[in-house]
Amino acid sequence: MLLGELEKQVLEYLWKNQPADAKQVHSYFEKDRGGSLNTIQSTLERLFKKDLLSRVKNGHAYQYFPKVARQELIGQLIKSITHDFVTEDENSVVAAFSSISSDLDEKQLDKLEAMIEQQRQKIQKNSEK
Amino acid sequence: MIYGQWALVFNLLTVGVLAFIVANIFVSITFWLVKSKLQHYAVSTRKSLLWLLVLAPWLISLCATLFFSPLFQNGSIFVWLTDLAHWHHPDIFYFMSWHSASLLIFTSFTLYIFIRKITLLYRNHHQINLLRVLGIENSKQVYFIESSIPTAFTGGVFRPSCFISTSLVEQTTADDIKIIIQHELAHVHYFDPLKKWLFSFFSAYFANNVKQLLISMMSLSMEQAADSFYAENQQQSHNVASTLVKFTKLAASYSIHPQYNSELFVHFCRHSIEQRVLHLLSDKQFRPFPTGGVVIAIPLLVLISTTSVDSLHHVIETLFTH
Repeated sequence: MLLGELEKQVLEYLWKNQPADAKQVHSYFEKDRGGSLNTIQSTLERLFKKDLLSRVKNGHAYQYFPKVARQELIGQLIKSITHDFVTEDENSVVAAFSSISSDLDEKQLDKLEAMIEQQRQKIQKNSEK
Repeated sequence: MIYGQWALVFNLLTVGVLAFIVANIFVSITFWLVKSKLQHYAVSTRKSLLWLLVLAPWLISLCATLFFSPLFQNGSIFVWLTDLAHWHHPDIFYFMSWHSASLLIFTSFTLYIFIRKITLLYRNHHQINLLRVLGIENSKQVYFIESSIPTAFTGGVFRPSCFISTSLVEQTTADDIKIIIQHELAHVHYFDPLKKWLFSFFSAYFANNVKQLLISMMSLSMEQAADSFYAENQQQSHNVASTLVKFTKLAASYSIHPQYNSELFVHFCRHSIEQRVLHLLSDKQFRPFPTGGVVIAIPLLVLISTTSVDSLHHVIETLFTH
């Protein structure tokens, strides 16, 4: 999903100040970056269509709020992206440092750690000679 | 029923499909016989051999199709082979025939695979782009993402980027983070996400057990190549191995996927981490690229597949008519 700079800023604003209507968002951005109310309205509409915002009608205006919290959205994305590792043949588009290892047993890892230490000491001894 | 040039094209495509199926079976058998020997080759050689294995059916099928085309069937050099392999009535194609059915099944399967892979690519492209927007660009191609899940991965098929979670940064030392970033940058350097995607497309034509093994071997080779990319000496290799174990221990307390509990998965992971650490610690000499073996195997497989197409054709047409 592509997000423009203004869309990103609006989303960040709503994560901190929710809910808000187009006028409130516009008055916040008007001071720093200018732009018309129409621009803000269409930005909110686009974010709504991208399924990142929810809205409820309050009188004549919509009150917008993010569908999920920032951290939660990032968590969902990480889960979804790294999920590709754990399905049989879909591990095809991401490469992780250590993606599929959370159930390795502690003893096995301790053994590997001891092996690395042993090798280190061996090299150290050889270099001292 | 059609005649002429188009009939020839459809017949040649049918030859291609049959040759592909025969080559796929022989390549699968070859792979199954040599799979344990692949670990004796250096990572780069292993990667090349795996690519050769998944591409071999396409290459062999192309050779067989060319051989059955008028280009070769009319040449006198291959007279001995045209006696062994020839296609009857190449300028007549029956739509209501097994030729047409095999072509249709292969095309449908290819379309199915293509649509699945493209959908995966499209979804991933959008998710990675959104993650880039939400992340903080630390340096070129490296993004820090605010998350309590300790993770580090490289994503983005055409424009790969590394993503490191803030939780990982907080819970590991600066040296470990440097190693992790270098590992991920190696994936960016090799364009591994794109290569993984392409490899999974080509391996989709193999039987399930062969496909899974091919993909896991390629995945392991890519990780091993990234592990060693910046490790210039034994000391650095040991540091990478140590970071890998530390990271694995840390990630163990954050099981985000219930599928991790699957028997098959845990087995594979264990195998993978162990092999990566052992590879980093090892100083053994690897075998050179088996040029001789490849030079013999590929023409042999072309010959077997080409002649098998003719035999298969005869067997089917003896059992059934068109």
